[in-house]
Amino acid sequence: MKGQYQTIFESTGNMLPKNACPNLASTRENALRELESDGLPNNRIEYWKYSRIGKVLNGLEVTLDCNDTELNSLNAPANVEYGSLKQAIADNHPLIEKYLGQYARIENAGLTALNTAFFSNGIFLHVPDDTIVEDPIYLPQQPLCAEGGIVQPRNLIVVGKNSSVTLIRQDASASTNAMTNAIEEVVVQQNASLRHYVLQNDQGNSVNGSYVQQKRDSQYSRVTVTLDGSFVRNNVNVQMEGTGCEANLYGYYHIQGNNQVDNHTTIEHMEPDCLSNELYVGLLDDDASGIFNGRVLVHQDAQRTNAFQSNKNIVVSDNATMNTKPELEIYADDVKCSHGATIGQVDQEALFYLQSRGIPRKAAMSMLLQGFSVEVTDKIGDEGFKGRVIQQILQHLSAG
Amino acid sequence: MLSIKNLKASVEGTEILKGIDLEVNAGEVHAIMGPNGSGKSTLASVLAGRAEYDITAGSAIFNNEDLLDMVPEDRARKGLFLAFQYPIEIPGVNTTNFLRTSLNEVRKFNGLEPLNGADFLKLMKEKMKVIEIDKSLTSRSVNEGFSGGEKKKSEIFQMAILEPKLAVLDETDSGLDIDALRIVAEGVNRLKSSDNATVVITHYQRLLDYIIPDYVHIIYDGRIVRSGDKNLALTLEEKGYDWIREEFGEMTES
Repeated sequence: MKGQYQTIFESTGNMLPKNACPNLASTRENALRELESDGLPNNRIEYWKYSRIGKVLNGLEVTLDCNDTELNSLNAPANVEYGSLKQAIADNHPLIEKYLGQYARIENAGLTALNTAFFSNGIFLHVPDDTIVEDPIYLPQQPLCAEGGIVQPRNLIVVGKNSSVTLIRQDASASTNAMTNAIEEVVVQQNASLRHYVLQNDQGNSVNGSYVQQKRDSQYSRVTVTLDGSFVRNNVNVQMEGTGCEANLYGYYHIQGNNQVDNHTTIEHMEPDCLSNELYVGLLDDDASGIFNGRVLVHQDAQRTNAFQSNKNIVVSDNATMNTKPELEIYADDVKCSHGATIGQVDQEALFYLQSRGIPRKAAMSMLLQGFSVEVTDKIGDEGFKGRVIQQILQHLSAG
Repeated sequence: MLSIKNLKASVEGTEILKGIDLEVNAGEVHAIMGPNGSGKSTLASVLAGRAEYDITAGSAIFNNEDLLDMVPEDRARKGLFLAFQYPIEIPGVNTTNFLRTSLNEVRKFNGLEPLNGADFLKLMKEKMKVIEIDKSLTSRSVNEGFSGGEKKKSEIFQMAILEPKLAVLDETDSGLDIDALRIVAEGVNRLKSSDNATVVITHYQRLLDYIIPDYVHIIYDGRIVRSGDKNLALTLEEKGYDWIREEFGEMTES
């Protein structure tokens, strides 16, 4: 008997971008097989235990019906390759054959498998070797899809050896009766440096999977700011496959209403002498629900690993909930790893201090809460974008 | 300016202030001294409006208004300033932004136009000279990573910016070396005028060598047990707090 996804695949498969490379075809077939055996996630799976994914997926159908990604013009050196993924596939770009589908692991990851089987479009960006891109590159927001659908955008980003670039993406509203199931694969080549900033503002439902592959001596710094969204799940996976890598994952979330924001991170230390640093801070108000799961995996060969993780939460209302879990798996013996998680309330002493200087309670509260995000926004290296993020954080605080 | 009558306050059912009477007029400097645990800091906290104290009796009238009835921010906007014994560190809140917000809230309340960024920086520069505060402190988060002395100086700096009518300095001298003490005291003296008043709460006579009080009150077991001029502080320094305990100790039992 044919599985349900196989049937959809056969009826829509000819709409999917194709090229002559055998890898893509077999990648899709494998994903489809994985999808048929695992299905989509539900609460019985450990990593989706507190998630509303089941409710969100209920009644939605896989769709290819979405608007095309609109490409903006770049202020970048001419050798930077930037275009739609569809075009890169049609052009048989060698990096498609080499990397597309290589790092987004589909095993026990139903939504990643779904994306890999059905993705139709997204961004392809290649910064060649030895290229310093001075101005940040703004990537277009993820495509939206029709009501009732699950859409699968797919990005492939390759930063060449000794190159440096800042990528910024701002995702906005999607319908609450639809879901974006986005996957990006990011390759940071030897001695390259990528600063990756994502602002998610009031999204509908989205699951965003990032698979970052770091080669020797590369640096990857990511800041994810999530200002609500009815259901937002971010899976950031970093695999450091060479020595001397540095990965920094920072996140800020402010969740209100009945919304859920869920940050799952996995950092994998495969080789010696790498550093990873993780800091996620968040505010939870109203009936909001927040989840943080930080997995750090230090393989046996990864001696002299430094891995630090911290998740700090302020719960503003009595009805908000936060589930936070550090998960350290360490197989090397010479490592320095730390983790910490706090869930607290606004410091009443600090509130009184500000009030005693004439600042009304509500404004004082806003000041303290905004202050909470500074540790993360300070990590945004681009001053222009940082200013806009802070402005949106403030707006979001005053809207609450 | 401030008239406190039979003020009683308790925390979690334990009475700390057992009937305080105090009159402070414009142009005066009052020192309140007393051993640890006598209620000095509680008095300061109650005046500033800290929530954990229950007022069980008495009144505090500040410029003809019931002080105890106001929220803390209104007390500040009407000209009361508390220099904290332990200034709070507030990570992520920039000192300059905080001070400007604070000053403009006070100005707005009193019907004045808010100061724009440039004017505020000018004012800050001016006051920085008075208090001899390091410029770098104002670009940092409020009190974060400040040394003990820097925190206390920063309190007086805030006071200089806000120009309160009544300043209550809660053990501003504790943890200060002699140079910092001198600077803080000079700052307070320069801010003194015939229109404002200062209440200095201290454990030691040392600060009063620099800030000369018009009146000295000794607080013991929640009451003011003796008032006098600056010589009272010298007597206390000479005889020590045991003198007070011996003389007034029975009151605790009664």
